[in-house]
Amino acid sequence: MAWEGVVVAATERNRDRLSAFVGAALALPGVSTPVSAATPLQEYDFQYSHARYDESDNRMRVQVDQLSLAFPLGSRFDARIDATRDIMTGATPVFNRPDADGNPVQVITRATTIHDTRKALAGGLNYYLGDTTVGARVGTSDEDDYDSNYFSLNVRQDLNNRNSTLEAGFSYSDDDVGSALRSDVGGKKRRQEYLLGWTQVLDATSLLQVNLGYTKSEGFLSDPYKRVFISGTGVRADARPEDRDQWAMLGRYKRYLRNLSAAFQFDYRYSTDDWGIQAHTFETSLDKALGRGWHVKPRVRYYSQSDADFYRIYFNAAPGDGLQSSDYRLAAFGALSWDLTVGKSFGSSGVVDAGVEYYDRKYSRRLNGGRGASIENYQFVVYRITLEWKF
Amino acid sequence: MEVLVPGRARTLVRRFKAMGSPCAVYLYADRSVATRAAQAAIADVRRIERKYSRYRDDSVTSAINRAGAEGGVVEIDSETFALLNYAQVCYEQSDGLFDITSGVLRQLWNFDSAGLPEKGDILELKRRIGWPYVDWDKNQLRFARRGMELDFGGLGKEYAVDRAATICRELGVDSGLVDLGGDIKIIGPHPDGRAWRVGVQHPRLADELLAVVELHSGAVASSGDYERYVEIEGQRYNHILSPETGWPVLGMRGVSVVAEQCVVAGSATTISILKEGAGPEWLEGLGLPHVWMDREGQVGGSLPPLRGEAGRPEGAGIDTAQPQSHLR
Repeated sequence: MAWEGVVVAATERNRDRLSAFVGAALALPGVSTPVSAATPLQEYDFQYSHARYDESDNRMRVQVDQLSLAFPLGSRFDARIDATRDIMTGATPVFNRPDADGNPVQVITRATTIHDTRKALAGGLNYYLGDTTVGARVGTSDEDDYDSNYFSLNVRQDLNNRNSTLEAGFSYSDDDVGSALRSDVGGKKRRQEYLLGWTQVLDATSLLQVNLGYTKSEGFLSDPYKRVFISGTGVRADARPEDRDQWAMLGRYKRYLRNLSAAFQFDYRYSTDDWGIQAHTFETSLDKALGRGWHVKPRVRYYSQSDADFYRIYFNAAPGDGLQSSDYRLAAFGALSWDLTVGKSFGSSGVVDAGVEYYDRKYSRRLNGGRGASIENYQFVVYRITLEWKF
Repeated sequence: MEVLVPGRARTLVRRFKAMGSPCAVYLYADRSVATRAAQAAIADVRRIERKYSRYRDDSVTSAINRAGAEGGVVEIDSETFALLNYAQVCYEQSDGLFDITSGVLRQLWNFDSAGLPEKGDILELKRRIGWPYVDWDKNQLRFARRGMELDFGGLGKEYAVDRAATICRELGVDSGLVDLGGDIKIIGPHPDGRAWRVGVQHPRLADELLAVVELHSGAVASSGDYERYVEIEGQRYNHILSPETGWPVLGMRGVSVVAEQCVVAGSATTISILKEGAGPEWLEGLGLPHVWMDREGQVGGSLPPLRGEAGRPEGAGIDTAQPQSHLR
């Protein structure tokens, strides 16, 4: 017994000795490839995740299953395939109408409960050469009333001894929008998205990232399931402009807190578009290692947006330009969400993560003024579990 | 240390001299890819040599040593910080024997000339040695004692080997090897998947090998009294100087260590030599594959020495053996 104890202690000490050398060696710039530049995956990475999304008042309920496999393809490439299935059931607000006192009342599709399944498949390839990484991805998504096909291209260039990274991306999607309930509404929708990003390593433990994005959408941008109530006229279709220009800016600060064994992140995102919606997002998280492979990640996010120019809770008269929507997603509101993930790694090959998010949207929580109503307040909860296995 | 290179087409071999040693890169790749990679790798080796040279006024080492001579604080960059960090680990793991401040002893020990230094001079210099008297953080460095110096010579070459291999790999070379004066890092195995056969120099028989190490990846570094040494009263002393005695060490005749990173292999060989008689035990405790020959000529370690007596293998598939030109 005593003998074994001595042997084990000696082995532990030797392992510590070697890992002290290797740890300091890997911190030398350029000694280990993964530390210095982006490289293709060295192993297969399989992930399965399952999530349940439940809106308050038994509205929408979505069950998401996702499988993904990433794998090396020779020494310069890696590839990734994702397959997703969403099952959506439930009801969703369609429009608001005034009651006898002029107060808005929400009308929800209880009669025709939605039941839809979305299947999506995407595949991508990354090419690595020195400080440059080029990625391409194509995907398709199919459901009863919405088909989408997209591709994206992305280039990353490491600069300044890899203390800076410049990233540029482009994506294009071509969608067919319809309604499972009516065949006379719908149309084509195209979307081009441009992204420019800069990441700067500030010191050994922190970095700053700034992304700028521009998105141009054209075509049928209305929601075939949404309606509007116009006093004296009745219920009419949701009608939005046929194009939309959106600009977005993201600032991200990440810092590894050595004495806490935790990674801290703060994000601020601002976006604005020519529909009149301006949005601010503040998000912060702390990913903390607890030892023995456990980690915990609490996250808080606050989001607030102003309303679209053509949004009204309901309409007192038909708008002159014909643009009208009472979609609660175009109203002014503020939302807080809390998220907690707890995970455990098993060696270097397996990870199990479980998380829950609670989202609470309130009209009164909006940052600036804007139209909207507290009848549009709602909450949702997401439960999710992710299994990852590397081999 | 030598490399046994099978003759093959599409091999680019670039020989050059850097850090006082004959160096070479062996790359299997398309000509343009290999040429670009060799240029970039060699350029980086020269960059490290310039940056940490003791002999150049504009080097980081000179700037640090001026701060040692004149006092004051010197700014350091992230690369230097990482090297200091590594030196700290070497100091701790060697119980103070691997000390990058011990280079001041070179003022007294000139291996090209005869004559022993005065005892008093050694004592005087030993006061200017001591890693704990170096105050540093990620931005700056200062010495707590006047007249101290740093010498990155014991780390720079191995660090350069690791980086050169990384650069070649990043520029599209998947198969090849980097050799800086016998410190070797594998970029990747031969194109047909075979391991590189690296011959470990016999410390006493110039034309013979002590062992042959087969490597698909990783690094091997060697050190011994066959490279540079001083003979005092019939005893052969290593060129490595001990911060404890201020004298060259009576270390093992030769040591080679295999590790994933050349910088780890290199510091392990140096520490085992500094440990003198305790070297083999220290190496065994570290757990890396190694081979040694002690002062009595006994051979040991976890790597198999060549069958029976040392000798030169003339095995099938081995086409050429590079002569050990850097031996003195």
